[in-house]
Amino acid sequence: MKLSYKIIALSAATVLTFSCKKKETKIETPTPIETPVETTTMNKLGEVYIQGANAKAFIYTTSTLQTGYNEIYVALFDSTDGSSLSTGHFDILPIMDMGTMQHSSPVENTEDTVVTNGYFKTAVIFSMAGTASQWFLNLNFHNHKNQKFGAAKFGVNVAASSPSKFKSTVVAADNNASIFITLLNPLKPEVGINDFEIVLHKKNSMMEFLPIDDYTVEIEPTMPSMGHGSPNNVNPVITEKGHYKGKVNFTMSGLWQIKIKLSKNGTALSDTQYFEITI
Amino acid sequence: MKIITVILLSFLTQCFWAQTNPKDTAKKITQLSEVCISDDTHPDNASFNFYKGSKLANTEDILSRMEGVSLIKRGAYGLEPILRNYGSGQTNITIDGMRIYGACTDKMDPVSIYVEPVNLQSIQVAHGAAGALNGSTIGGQINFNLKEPSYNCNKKIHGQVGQSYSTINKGSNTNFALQQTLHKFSYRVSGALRDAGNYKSGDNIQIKNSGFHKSNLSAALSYKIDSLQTLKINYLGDWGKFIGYPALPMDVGSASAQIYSMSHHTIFKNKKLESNELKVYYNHIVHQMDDTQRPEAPMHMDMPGWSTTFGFYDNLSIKKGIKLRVDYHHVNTRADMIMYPSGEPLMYLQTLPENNLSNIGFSLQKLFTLKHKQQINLNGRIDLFNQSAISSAGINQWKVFNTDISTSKQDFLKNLNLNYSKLFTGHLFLQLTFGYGERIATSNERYGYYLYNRQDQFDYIGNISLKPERSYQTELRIKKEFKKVEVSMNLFYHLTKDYIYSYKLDGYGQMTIGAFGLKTYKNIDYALSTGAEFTTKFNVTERLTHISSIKYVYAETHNGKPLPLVPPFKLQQALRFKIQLTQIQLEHDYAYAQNRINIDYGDRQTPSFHLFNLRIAQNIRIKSSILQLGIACENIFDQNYREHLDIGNIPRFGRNFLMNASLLF
Repeated sequence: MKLSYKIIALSAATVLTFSCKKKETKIETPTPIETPVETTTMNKLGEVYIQGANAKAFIYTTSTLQTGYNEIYVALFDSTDGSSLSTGHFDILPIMDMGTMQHSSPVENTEDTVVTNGYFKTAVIFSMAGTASQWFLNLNFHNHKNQKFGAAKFGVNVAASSPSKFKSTVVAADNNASIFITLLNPLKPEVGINDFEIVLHKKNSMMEFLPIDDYTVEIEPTMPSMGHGSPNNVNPVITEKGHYKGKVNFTMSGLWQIKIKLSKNGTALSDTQYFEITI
Repeated sequence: MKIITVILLSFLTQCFWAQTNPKDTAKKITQLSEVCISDDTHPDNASFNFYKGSKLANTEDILSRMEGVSLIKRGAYGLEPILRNYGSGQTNITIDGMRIYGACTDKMDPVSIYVEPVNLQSIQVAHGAAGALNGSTIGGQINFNLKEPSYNCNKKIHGQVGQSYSTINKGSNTNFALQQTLHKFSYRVSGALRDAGNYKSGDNIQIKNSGFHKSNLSAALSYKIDSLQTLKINYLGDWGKFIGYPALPMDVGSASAQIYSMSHHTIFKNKKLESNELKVYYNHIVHQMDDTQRPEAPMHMDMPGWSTTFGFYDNLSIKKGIKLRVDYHHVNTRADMIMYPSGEPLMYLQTLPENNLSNIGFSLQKLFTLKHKQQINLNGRIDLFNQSAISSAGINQWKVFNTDISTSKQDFLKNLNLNYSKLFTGHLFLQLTFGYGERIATSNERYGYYLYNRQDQFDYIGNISLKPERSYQTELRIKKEFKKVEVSMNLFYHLTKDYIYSYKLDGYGQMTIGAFGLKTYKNIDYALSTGAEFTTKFNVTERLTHISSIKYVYAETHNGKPLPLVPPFKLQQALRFKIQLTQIQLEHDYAYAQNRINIDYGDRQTPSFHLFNLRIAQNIRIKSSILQLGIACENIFDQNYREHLDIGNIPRFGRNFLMNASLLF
């Protein structure tokens, strides 16, 4: 009986704290909330104070973080009055801390300084899996409201995507460049015609990865156990910032491999990397 | 013997169906045992009745010896009848006038497999547009009429049991039939069990995966409402298991057909109307191909297919030689392919995307009887078809070809057939036919999705924009009867516009492992087909009869390419010696080599062959019953041979001994 009293007391306390927090969530809720990605719901990853910028950051993703392309949405609020901060310059720098060394990963920061739908949108391409002690997001914010600048460090868990949506390869014909190939689409592969999108990055230094805009990309989908391909695929072409868009076709359900062939100015660079897709 | 004759006559009364030939058919009685068979366009098709008279002939044997009929062979079972050079999409094969669609995208289930000889009353064959009475066609129609219970005054149970055995494949065939009349009711139940192992070809080569098992049951119930009206219910069920198809990469694990129908017949005592037949029907075919019996198969694969058809027809006969028909049918078909790679998710696609086809048709036939034994028979038919793919899976997979198959397709088809005949003095009969026929593309030709064709080893996809084939036809039939000899000859010339022909899609890959590429269909300018059939029957003495038939077809495309699967010149002859209840029959088949082949389609040259069979039958009277015993040796010289239409170069049966015992009671 004693125990159950304790439980009741505990749960009451939890409810109280929860309801207290609920008050806070009132201010954390950016107005208006529009789901930026239509078919996915936003998952809250966490929150952190950005010291110096008088800002509190609420970090959201569309799914759990994994190796490959991850969209990250950050809503910023004034840490004193709770009002939404819609002007400023926000960026993320991902850092993998391996103790003896550190390196970053490709990232796509927004250049917008005015937030229209409540979020600063960025995307991080995690190049490897890691737990919170290893991967950090360095959040930098220049608050245009008070012209203050601040930074914060936020640890995240990154799981390995399965099947992998991220490939890295060293391209001998392009000065031994280390190339990252990240699969964005199809997100929900189906039999028939599918949008296909990859992003290409080149490692410039441990901390800098540049989008590749001058490669030629060809794709070749095959069913490995049958050895056949599919017709009428559209090879991806550069749109912006290393993004290449095309069409991939699947004639039937099952396991598919999409081979990525890279070339530059007519010189073949790489044709060994492939993504696996199961329908 | 008297009783048998009574049964015979009662069967015979049901054989008069849409007779277009003014010849008297009564003389057939002499050739029949308990089965009455009529070839409708030419009810006096001598060869047909001749071979049916032999107890050791099965349905396919008889078909193969009919005028202008050949068979495509993929295994020891399920031979697909073709008319001259017209295949399954161009001909209509029906049972009791019912439309039945195969559920197999590889045509392993021609409608003919559901008809066992013990169920069979007659086969009606009409060539070209003349076969369009029951449905639009350019190639003709084959209609299998099932035996129906007859009304006889004798309430005794009649029937038969039979057993046959063939050595070449350790094949057995057990069959039975029972029939009884009970006041206003009469019923007939019959069935067959067939079982066969792998057969051996000439030179003692075993053909793997050629065995089969099947059972067949037919039940018919007839109720006489009054002296003018009859109600009939028919059921036909057929179950096949482990049917080997050595010419194909897969076998049939199981196949079943459920065929139901109900019909109402009225005879009018009216000045204007003659009779009416209304029939409603439903059938469901399930066909399961798999490769579980093939150890060399790279990956286990299932290919199930379904077809469900329902429909009705109404045949109204009006006096002054007018026949009206309205018919409707709706069919839903689909075929899947499921593959099971080890350690990977299964793979799935619809080789035939699920689709609905409905058809309503009207036909009108008018017979003008003129002076001097002249007749003009005019029949026309119009058809409206509507077809659409309905499955989202099938529709989506077609999007990779940037094709939307979900929009429904309408086709309006016209058929017209004009037939003039004259009976000259001196037993010379002449018939001239002008025909125009159309047919729509089959659902395989329209929606098929990576359907593998073993013959040319290409995968095929459909083409929804195919136009109907249109065929202009002319035929001449001459028949002359001498005192002891009957001679008949058919000459035909068909020109088919917008002929549906396959072509290779460059730059497209295959799906099937080992296939060479991808093909589809298009309408070519035209194809022509011409040829002749020649039949003689010579009653040498009262006891000795010689019968022979010759078939020849020449067919090519507008640019002179031979059409695929065209049978070569073929001579079939038989000598029958009959004394009292003993019958000895020697058969000789000769096929000329076929060197006019379509290489694109994977047609292969076929050498000529001679084939000899010997059949001996003995009937023994036991009180009011008859015991029929038969023994036969087919392919006496153990020839290793194949017919041109045998897919995959698989040779036919080697020397085979057949034994048969049947008791008719």
